[in-house]
Amino acid sequence: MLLELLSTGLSAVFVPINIVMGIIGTFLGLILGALPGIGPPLSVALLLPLIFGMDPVTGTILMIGVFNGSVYGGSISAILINTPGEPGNVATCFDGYPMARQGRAGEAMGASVVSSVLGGLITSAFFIFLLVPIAKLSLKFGPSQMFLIIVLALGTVSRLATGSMLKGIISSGIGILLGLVGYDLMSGTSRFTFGYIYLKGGLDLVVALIGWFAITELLFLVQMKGTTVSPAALKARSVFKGGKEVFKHLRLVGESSLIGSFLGALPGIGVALANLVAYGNAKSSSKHPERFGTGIIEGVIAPESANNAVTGCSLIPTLALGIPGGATLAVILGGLMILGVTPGPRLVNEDPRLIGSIMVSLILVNLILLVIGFGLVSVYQLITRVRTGYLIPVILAICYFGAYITRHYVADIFFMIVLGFLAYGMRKAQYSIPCMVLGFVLAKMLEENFHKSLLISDKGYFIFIEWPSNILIILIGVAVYLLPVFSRGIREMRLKRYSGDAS
Amino acid sequence: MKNTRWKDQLLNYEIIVPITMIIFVIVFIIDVYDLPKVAKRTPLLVGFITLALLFIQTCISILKDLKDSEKIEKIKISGNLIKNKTLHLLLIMILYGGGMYCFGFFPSTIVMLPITMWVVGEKGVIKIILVSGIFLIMFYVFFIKVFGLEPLGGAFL
Repeated sequence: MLLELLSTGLSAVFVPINIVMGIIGTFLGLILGALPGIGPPLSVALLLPLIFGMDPVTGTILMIGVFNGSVYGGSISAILINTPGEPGNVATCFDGYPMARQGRAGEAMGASVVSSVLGGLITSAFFIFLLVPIAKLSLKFGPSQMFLIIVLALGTVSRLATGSMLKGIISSGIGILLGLVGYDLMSGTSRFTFGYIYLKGGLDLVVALIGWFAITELLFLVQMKGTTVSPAALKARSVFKGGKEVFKHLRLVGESSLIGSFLGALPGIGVALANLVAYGNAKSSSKHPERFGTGIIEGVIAPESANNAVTGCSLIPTLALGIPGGATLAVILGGLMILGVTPGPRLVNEDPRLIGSIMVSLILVNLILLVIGFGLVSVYQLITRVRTGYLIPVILAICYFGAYITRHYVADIFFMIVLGFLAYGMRKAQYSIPCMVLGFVLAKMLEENFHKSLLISDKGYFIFIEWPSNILIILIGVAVYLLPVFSRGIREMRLKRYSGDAS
Repeated sequence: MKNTRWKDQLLNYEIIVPITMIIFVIVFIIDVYDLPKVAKRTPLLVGFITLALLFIQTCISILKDLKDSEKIEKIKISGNLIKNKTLHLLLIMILYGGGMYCFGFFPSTIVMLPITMWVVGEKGVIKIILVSGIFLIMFYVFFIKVFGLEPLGGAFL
């Protein structure tokens, strides 16, 4: 079956329009990702209006290109101006910017491109080999298992939310309630619509995403001053030198990519944690951990391999279960719905052309990234010089256009603004927006599986603690919940050991 | 001093945001309370749990604020509001939406772009006009002509 999927994918992807979309998506993602404050979720959300009416394969390639490009793009500003494009590039600043200050910005950029591409290719391999078995396994899940998986996904995301876990759960709850606005499919009644026809179909996902990410971000960007820091100089020759240097650290690339792939497959963890865990692992397993932070190439290779390794594996739960693992995946899920695709366990059988295309396009966009990453060296410094004063109104115009174009309701523009204000206040008070997004996206699925579980059960609510499947899911969820605690403990033990050896 | 202290304690995001969310959840619960059992089961369950957690979080925020009010981010409504760029942008967003409804996407955007750039802090008039013009042309070519998407036409046009 895997070979069939790949051959279908190859024939679907390698047509001129799809290759062009892959190039455009990667290029736009790279540019948007390089702008501080414009991370992958916003980059993909801004392009959602473009994919209306597109062929599902074409639209998906565009979204994957943007996702992959923007995850890498954040490293440009991280290295050149010590400002990560998004949380997945925080660790890149630790050694990338010192390298730039030493006149080795090109080396850092070259290492960043090649590490990102290798990480992306490794995760693509995991995606190709693991998606079908996981989708087959998920077909065996009943409504109670799906309900528990959704609850645990929300719980895990809340566990790792900024602010606190309590605020994360509250954000998820608010997101679920917002997701339940509109018609209830089971009873045909309207909820929280107050008779307004615009609300009967519920709040539109694309409008909500643009409001929560783009409008909120603009309200924060306006408080930033225009770029005043001069980016470090880049020399093309040193970029290639940095790229070649990565091949002397292939074991580090492999380890970091494994970390990124594993964490990417878990809901809520994603790039933000992967780059830091990989950096910590590289430092603790290095013969010279004291050099980390002074500008060594391993300090760029590890986080950049890990953060791009998240992309492929994070698509597995999104496509196989219909459960997005984070904010960007929720946006991609929204995009797939616009394209008429319903992610879930049946997708592999119902649309093998799309699945095969995603497998091939994950490899394609990484190869495109390699070419564009090296080819656009001279443009990087220009990207970091874009002033927020020009960026804000441009993004605002795209947002308003995008909000209207989804359903051609003027009211959607109003909802987008209101939701943007809500998210702005929530972020100021340290409530997690990704938790709210996930709650919103999963609300109807959560309710449907909840109702179905109770309908088919003769045990009432006790169906949710049925042995063995549901208990096993709960135990896995608890283990994942405790994973950061374990990994922190292991790191502390290693640090104690190294400081003991040093003394 | 006492009045200022109470105002400071109320006017911070840690208190105002959960209170706003409490109001929203209560209204939601009231709205769904009389619906059939199937329609209200999930919203009520989620609503009550969220409400309880919000009350707990609000109490935690108030206690934290009483203990260490310096670290809590205040909503600054004192001071020179006229110079507050965030408020300016909020106003522009509302007016832009209204303008788009009345006059359509392109006329309102032609006005919004340079005004917003000026308000946010860009002062080079030629650069503002150039950037606005280039963006509008590229937008028209890619979004309208190439992708065939239809923007909002105005109610008055």
